[in-house]
Parts: sequence; structure tokens; C-alpha cells
Amino acid sequence: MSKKMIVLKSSEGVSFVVEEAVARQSKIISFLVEEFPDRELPLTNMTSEILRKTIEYCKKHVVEDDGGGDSSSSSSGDLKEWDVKFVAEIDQPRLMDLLMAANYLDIPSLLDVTCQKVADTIAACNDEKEIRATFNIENDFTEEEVEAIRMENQYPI
Amino acid sequence: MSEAKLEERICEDRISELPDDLIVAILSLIPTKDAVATMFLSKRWLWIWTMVPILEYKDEKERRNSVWWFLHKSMQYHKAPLVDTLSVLLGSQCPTDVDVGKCVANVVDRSVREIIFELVWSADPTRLPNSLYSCESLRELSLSHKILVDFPYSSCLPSLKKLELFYVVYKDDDSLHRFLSMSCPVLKALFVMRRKDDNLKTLTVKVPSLWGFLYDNCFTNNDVEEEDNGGCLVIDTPVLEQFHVMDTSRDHCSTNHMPCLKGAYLSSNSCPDENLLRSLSSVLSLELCLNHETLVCCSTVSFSRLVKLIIDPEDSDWLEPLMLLLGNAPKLRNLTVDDAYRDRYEDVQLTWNQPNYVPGCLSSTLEIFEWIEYEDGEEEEEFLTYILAHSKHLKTATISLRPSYDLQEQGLIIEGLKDIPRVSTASQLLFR
Repeated sequence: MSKKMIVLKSSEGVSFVVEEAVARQSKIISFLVEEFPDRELPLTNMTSEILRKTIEYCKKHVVEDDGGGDSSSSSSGDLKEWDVKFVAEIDQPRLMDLLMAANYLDIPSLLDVTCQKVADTIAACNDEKEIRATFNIENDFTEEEVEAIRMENQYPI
Repeated sequence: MSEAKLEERICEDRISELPDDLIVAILSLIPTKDAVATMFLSKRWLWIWTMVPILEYKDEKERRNSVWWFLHKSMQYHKAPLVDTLSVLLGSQCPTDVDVGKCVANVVDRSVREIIFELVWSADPTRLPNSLYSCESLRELSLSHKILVDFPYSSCLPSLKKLELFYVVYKDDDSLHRFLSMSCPVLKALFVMRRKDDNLKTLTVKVPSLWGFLYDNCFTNNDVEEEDNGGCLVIDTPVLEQFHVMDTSRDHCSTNHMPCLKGAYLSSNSCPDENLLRSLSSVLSLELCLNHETLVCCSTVSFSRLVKLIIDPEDSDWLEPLMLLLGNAPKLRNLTVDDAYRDRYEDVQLTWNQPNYVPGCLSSTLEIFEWIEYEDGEEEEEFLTYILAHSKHLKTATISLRPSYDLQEQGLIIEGLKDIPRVSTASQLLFR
């Protein structure tokens, strides 16, 4: 039996032909496929690059059901390792894009791994200066304001 | 993308542009103190931490100042309408003149799902607010150490699935009994670790919904109760599947039959009641670390569904009682003797006489045999020889030797054991 394919279109108008089972890990796509079968799905706020990354993730995580029960290609331990490598190789702006894509397409497991990667990056910083530098956050407090917050929230840790 | 544009993209502050709910999701994954500290990043971040639904405060041993003050202050600002988890550990540095229960009441008002509260302060055990025991949303509750557990009459935790009571003290037998039998209708898992002088004489676990029960009544300072102090453990849990009991007290234990039991672990200093073992008779997987009397007791109970058995013989003369037990386990497939807990200074003389009949499981079902920390004694070898000679369907026998043997001794013992004839010619004898 041939597998059903669907077409996803990036913001640049590039079409990606994907197995339906792969794309259905997105709850949004799953819904759209049922509502609008046999239609190209335009994902106007996703660049080709991010869409390609997202599809790569979904391909790895698809659980193929060809009647033989659990035939996922990888064990859960391997999959975890793969996930860690997958997010480790992405630079920070793209990681944010991917996190947004996971949120927009509603792919909970991809959202989890991207959020975890950002959280780990924050937790690895020694102080707020390092967090600001890592994420290019501009400090828009005046010194007096910072002092006032510190006074208000002083905690002995 | 042009280089200038790429450069610009890399310098952008993308994280602050994320919607609040995503930032909250990220902050939920880092320690609370780090999440709170993000308020200093920029104005965008000043209040986001107050929406994080997971709160964790832990005193660390090496710190002189208690996390209490930080907890107290940050809880004042925290405003998430729903709190998922509150996890608090207050150590010996915690001030004793404060109301530690306040933070519990605070999150109970915000539909908390999980509370872990460990109080190790230097003051006496204290009560938590009554509202805790009627929190409709609470699914998991864990209370440890200096907490006086006093369930009010009005207690009702309709969502509670898991309850842990570790080294707490209780108001009395009745309050706990009443709570367990009436106030938590969907409780699945109960973990109880007892301390001395916890005001309980009889612990009655009458929970119709209970799936797993873990009970630890072993005092750490080795002062095993020598005398019967009238204590009692009463278990009435008709759908229990997992039963783990470690008990060095001389408490009496009474149980009802548990027909759904899948796994049981029993380690007890007291001479177990035959009824207790009979109530375990439906079990599929059993681990016993028991004394001689218990093994004798076991041999009179039929374990008709038992598939996996682990024996920790400790210092008992266990060989013959085990044979009787095997005779009562007709479906046994997997037998492990774990001899790692034997007190080597205690000189136990093992008795072995070849039994008159061969237990059914040896001739028909036993496939896997393992002996952990085998000691090369005459009786041990005879027992092993017997198992290998009669287990017709054996697939693997795995022996690991006592670590105190040197390499040369090990080699000699292994050579000797390899020559033992095996009735199942397809079986493998493995050494670890």
C-alpha cells in the first residue's frame, strides 16, 4: 500500500512533500488534513529552513504503524540522544524559530525539547549579565530602578 | 540571506519576543531561584516569573541562611492563578517562629496539584493548615519529618492518587484510619515510612482503590525491637497489585486476600503470620528476604500463579524450606538466590538432604536460574547440582561468585561447577 503524501508550503512558496503520518505529529496539520483533504497547506509564517528542520524532527519521531504494532525505528533512549544532538546543533536564533514553529504547529514533544534547551542555556548562566549577553537582551532598567527592585526583593541566597 | 542581515538576526533579542506562555514554560524548567532572578533582565521580564506554576524551594545543608525568607517574599508576589507543584524542603536553619504552613494554604487556594513538604527544622512537629486536607485539585501529597499529621473530620481529597508519609508523627490511630478509608476515594499509591514514637499503635490501611503499598518500619539505628510492643499493621486492599513491606519491628501484620497481586517484596524480622503469606498467594513475582521460620511458613502456602521468585536467604538455613516452597509454585519460571546480604561472620550450618520428590516447576517450567554471590560450600554445591540435574527446561543458569574469592580461587570453583551435569542439554551455564 502506498503511503499517503501531503504538501506543505513554506513562506517562500517552496513545497515539501511529506508522508501524512509524519506531518500528523502536528496537531494543527492533523486537523487541517481532515478538514481540507487533498489540498496544499500553506504555512505562511514558516521559512523553508525551519520547515525542513521541523520535518526532519517529525520524520525521526514518527511511529510507523504498518500493522505490526510498535515498529518505531528507534528505541526511546536512542531517540532522546538524537533529540539532544538535534537541538545542540542549532544556533540560537534558529532554535527560537523552531520553538515558535513547534508552538504554532502544536507539536508537543518538539516544543518540550526546544524549551528544555533554552532552559538549560539560562540555567547554565552565572548571573543575569550572562543571560543578557547570551540572548542579546537589552537592559532597559536605570540603575536606580534595579536598586529599588533589589531592595524590594532582597533575599539571602 | 545577506551577511549584514544575518548579523542583525544573530544580534536580535528573540527570547523576549516569545509570548508569555512560552517564557513561562521555559522558566518552569529551571530552579525557582533562577526563574525569580530573571526579573532583573529587563522590564519585559520583571513580572513573568510570577506566573510560573512550579515552585521549588530547598534549603541546602551548606548554607547558613534558610530559603524560608526567599520563599516567604517571592510567594507574596507570585500570582499564577493555578499552581502545579509546590516543593519545599526546610532544613535545620529554618527559623522556628514562622508559620511554615502559610505557603501550603497559599497554593491550596490556587488549585495546586502536587505538594512535597519536607520539614527538618529544630522545633517540634507542627500541623499544616486544615485546608490542605480538603484540597479538591490535589493529586500528589508528600509530607516528611517534623509534621504532625492531623486529618480533620472534614478531610476530603477527591483527586488524591499518591500519598507519601515519611517519618512524620500522627495525631492518633483513628485520624489516619478515618482519612485512608473515607477521605481519598481514588488513592492508588501509598508510601509509609515510620519513625519511632510516631503515636501510632495500629496502622490500618483500608483503601478500596489502592494499587501499590510500600511500607518501611525499620529503624535506622539498628535497635531492632526485641519485644512485641502491641503494634499492628492491618491491610485491607482488595485491588492491590504491588506490595512492598520492610519491617524490623515485632508488629503483628494482618491482611485480607489480595487476588490482583502482581509483585510483592517481604523483608521482616518478625515471624510472619501464615495468613499474611496466604494473602500473598496470588502473586506473580515475589521477593523474600526472610529468616528460617518464614521460609518454613512459606512452604505451607500454595503460590499457584508465581512466575518469578527471588530469595535473599540472609542467615537462615534455607535450602530445604526453599525446596518445599518450590513444590508449592508449579508455574515458576525464574528463580534467583541473592546471597549478597548474608552476614559472613554468622556461621550458619546449612542442611541439605535430597528431597523424596522433584518439585513440579523444576521438571516443567523453570527456565532461568541465577545465584548471586555463590559461596563454594558442600551443601551449596549439592543444591546447585540438584537444580541443574532436574530442571528439564532450563535455558540459563547464571552464577556470580562471592567477591572475596581471589582470581585463582574463582578459576578453580568455576572449573568445578562447569562439570556439573545438566539435564537440559540446551541450557547455558554463565559466570559473572
